[in-house]
Amino acid sequence: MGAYIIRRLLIGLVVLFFVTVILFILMNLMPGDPITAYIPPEVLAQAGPEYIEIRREQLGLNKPVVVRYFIWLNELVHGNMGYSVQNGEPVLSRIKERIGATFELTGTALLLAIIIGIPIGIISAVKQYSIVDSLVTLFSFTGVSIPVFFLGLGLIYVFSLRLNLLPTGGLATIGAPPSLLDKLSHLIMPAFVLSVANLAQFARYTRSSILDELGQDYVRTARAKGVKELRVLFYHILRNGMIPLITVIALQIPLLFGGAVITEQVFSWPGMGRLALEAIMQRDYPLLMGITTVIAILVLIANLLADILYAVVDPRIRYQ
Amino acid sequence: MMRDQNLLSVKNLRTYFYTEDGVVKAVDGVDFEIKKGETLGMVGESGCGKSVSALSIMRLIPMPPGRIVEGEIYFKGEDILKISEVAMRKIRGRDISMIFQEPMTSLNPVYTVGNQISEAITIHQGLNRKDSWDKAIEMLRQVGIPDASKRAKEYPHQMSGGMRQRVMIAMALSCNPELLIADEPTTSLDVTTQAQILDLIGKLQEEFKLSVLIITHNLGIVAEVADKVAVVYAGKVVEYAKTDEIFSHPLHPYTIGLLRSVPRLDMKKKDKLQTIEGEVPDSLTFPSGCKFHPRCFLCQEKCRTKEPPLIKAENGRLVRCWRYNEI
Repeated sequence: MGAYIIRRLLIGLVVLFFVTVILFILMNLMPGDPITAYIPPEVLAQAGPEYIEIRREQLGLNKPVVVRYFIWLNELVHGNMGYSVQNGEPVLSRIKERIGATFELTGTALLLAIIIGIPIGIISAVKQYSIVDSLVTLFSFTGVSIPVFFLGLGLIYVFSLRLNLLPTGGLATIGAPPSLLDKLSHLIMPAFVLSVANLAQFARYTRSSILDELGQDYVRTARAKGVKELRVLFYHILRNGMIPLITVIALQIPLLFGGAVITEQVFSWPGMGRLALEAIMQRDYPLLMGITTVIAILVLIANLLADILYAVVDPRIRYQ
Repeated sequence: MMRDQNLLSVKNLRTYFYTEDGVVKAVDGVDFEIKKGETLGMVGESGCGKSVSALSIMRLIPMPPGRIVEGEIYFKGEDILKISEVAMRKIRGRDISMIFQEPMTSLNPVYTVGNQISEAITIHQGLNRKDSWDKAIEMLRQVGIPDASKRAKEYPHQMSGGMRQRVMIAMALSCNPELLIADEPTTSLDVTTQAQILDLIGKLQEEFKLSVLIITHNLGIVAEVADKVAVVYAGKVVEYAKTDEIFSHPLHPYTIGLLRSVPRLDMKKKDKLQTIEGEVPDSLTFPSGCKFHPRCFLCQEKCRTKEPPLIKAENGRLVRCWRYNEI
């Protein structure tokens, strides 16, 4: 197992390397000259081509892409992700100040999706073809289909503007003493919006996975030895049914970060997603490169965790 | 309530499945009895209702779509079709145990075999973890698994098919049941393992004073282990007699066909292996009259229109045929 994890980590590093290569190429394919982002527009208007060339040289932007990539990579290895164009701060510290909020949001969303989605999936499998099952199915398809921004704006309209129950956005009420309740009231709507698609997805997968297991021979064996139905479900079936779900959850994590970009924008949530959007708008290439790299690392870690979890849950899987 | 010396007596059992295509009469008139210590063989082709009969006795028919529409199943004098689910659950695994055809899939893949055996012991005998684990190891030893205390910690996928069936038997017998239902227990095993498992069941039957209902399509197995035989065709018992009587003097044309279609070592090269003409009827569209008449060499007008009841023949044998005494 230990050797397996180390090997997977090494493979992960290789994957990460290629991801950053592709990201770097994509950044360079973006239309526009990055130099224009570094020179204030009023200076740019007056400056001659010589000045622009001097700045280009100073910033190293005259070097070929390959060289620039390896300079960036070398700095990354030494813990430096470069400097934000907007305010010259290190990219790493800009990400650090935002990543906490994003973790809060995505973590809560994932938790909600798991603790709501899986139980309703189980209920809907056990009560197959019942009214509850149909409702869950209807909800799942709605949940998967509805765009995040639409749901977000709709909820803001109802709960904030009409009912005046929840704040429209932000991390906490500005000026108010920090309290858990205040924090939760700000968190609940964006986290729910972000979780809906996942929740629906998890419910669907849980349902079909449990239904698969319900027909298995070992279930009949368990019943034949006099095991209570609840124990059959929660002890025998659930553990088998959860195995395929690990993959599903792991695959949803990248989408969660993607979804966070929009959700954070809708709810003015000061997280990494909004930072990414700002970076795109401002053509802040180093910042954008940094954010995407961090997300890539998180996704790789999530996948590794899923693989390890597999081995823990399923004794048939033993990694050499 | 009925009182007799039968441990199990099944009367006129009918289990139907209500599917979208219509009513499937999987079991449509099954009668048999098992005395204490006795072995009954239930023989028939695939899909004739053998397994559904067994699952009906355990009350493990998936409902819906299935339903036991008629009949009585007396176990120790009590009709277990009338008792509550809670009471039935106490019977399952404690008084009546069952082993299945597929040892590969009948065990839960994510728990150790020791764990799965001790689960039944904990449920029915209320032993604590340690004691039921020790009992599980003891059971593994009884079914001839070497190095039992180590193998108890293994998972099903680490064992061969024969070993897994031994584990199933250990599990089934862990609470000293009075009746063991073995549904094609050796069908998916290779021939040498088959013999070992049958020997094991026979040996344990004596030790545990078990009654056994063995379901099979293999007449060889029946001849070897069963005291009595119930031949099942299209959901009905068509012949019911002592094993030696069935083999020496079958009464029902279907039984005769079955016996003729067993290849024998003393057959000459030019002898063709006989088969029963036609196919097992689709359970949605059973023929009228005797269900076997389209395939029967004795078929007459009466057979086409009127279904025979289980007729009492000599020596208390039962046969569902109008013309059995003409054979």
